[in-house]
Amino acid sequence: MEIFIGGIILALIVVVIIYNGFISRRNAMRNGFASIDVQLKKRWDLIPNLVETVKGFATHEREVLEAVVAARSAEPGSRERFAREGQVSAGVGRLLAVAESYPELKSSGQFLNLQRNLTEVESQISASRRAYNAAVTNWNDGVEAFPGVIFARIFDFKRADWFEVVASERENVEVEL
Amino acid sequence: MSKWDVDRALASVGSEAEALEGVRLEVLASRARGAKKMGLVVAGAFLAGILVMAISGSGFGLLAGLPVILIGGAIVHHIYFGKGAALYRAMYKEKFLARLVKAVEPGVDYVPGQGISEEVFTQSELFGSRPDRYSSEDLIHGMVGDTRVMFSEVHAEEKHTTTDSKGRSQTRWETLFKGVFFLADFHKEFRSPVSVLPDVAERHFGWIGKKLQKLGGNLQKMESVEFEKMFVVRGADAVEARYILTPAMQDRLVALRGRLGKDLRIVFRDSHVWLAIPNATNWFESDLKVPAGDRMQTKMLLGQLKSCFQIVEELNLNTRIWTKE
Repeated sequence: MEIFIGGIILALIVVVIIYNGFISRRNAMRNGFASIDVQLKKRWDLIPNLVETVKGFATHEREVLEAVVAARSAEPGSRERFAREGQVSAGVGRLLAVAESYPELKSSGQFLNLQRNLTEVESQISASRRAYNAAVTNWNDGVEAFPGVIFARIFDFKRADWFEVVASERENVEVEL
Repeated sequence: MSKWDVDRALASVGSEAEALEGVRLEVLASRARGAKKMGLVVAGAFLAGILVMAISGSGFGLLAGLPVILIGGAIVHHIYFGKGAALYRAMYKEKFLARLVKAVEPGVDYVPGQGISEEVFTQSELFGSRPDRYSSEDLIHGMVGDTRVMFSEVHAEEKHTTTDSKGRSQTRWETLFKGVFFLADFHKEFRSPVSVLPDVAERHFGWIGKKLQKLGGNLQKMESVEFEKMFVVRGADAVEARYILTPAMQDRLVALRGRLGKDLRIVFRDSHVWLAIPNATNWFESDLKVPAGDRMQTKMLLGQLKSCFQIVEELNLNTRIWTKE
């Protein structure tokens, strides 16, 4: 009888440890996503200034603003949101590249300041995305590997999606960070 | 012509080399005189020993010469061998090496008698506790492009005292670190420290070692497989760790480790990057046997300096595209 009770207590402890492990992995994932969100919002705030600065030099600034509006309206964490943000990234890259053809823009203090801030935000987004993806990998490992897979089914824990770089962003000429 | 070219460097330090050559030859001549005197001391002691042996009739009389050798030898050594060489080496550093450093990096200064302070070394937290014995020399500091750098040779030791069953205690000194300690401005702002240490656990225990790493806390797993095999990264903030260790930076650190050795330790802390580069030999030293402006010796010194200065380029520290000035 004592062995039986001891066994139940031990099993309960194992369940609690595994469950808490899942919760801590999920929190890391959520925290990673929140970091991306903060940086994406920072970028949204900077883009209108960039558009204003390069107006007259660039022809596709409107597309970037539209991409920002679309990204803002997409559901947070959805694949659509990630795809829209990818389009914003590519658009920002194109606007910054305009300066290469216009020396007066390249020497503008306001433009240089924006360029630095956007480079900073892009670096932070990239870092947040990588941290988020690392947390997602850790989560998915837990959901799919034994014995986590059993508990994932019991508690209805599902695989999460990575924040992947969209094709348009890959094509964009990136600054060496 | 590259600034690391030996002929170019020698052309800019030629006058110092000529001036030092006189000092070096004088030290060598003094040593030669010392060697002769030492010979006389030994011969004198031998004769004294024989004399005592003859008078006393005992073979132990020969030992009477021993104090003469010890005392006489110490005096001769002090006069002819002691200070001269040390003086030459100090002058070599002050005159020749300082000028050589300026010739290759005009924005930096070389202060041979100073080093990175024990406080700075301890602050890095690269070696855990504060050392019990610490020495540092050959400080080089200043600007390399837009980056402020500082490095010097450091020898940090830890004291271990053991007591046996009879209550006798024994002290031994264990080297915590010996080599070049390098500190530079990092071009990005960050708050929490990120350490990049040799992956000893995985290197020695493989898969189990990898699992054991997690026990240390704040473990951050990076994307580069090669980087992960070599280093273990710890940092409280997952995003900041990746902000610093971009995929490009991971590749750079892999290459840097290839050049500087498997025990390279790095920490990003207080907006600086700190590197501990282990090195068994004593750097930035001259050989009394060769002329001050010797080509091979100058080449070796240039190689040592280049090894340190090129870290700025290898880690891309002069790039200023982020918000940090």
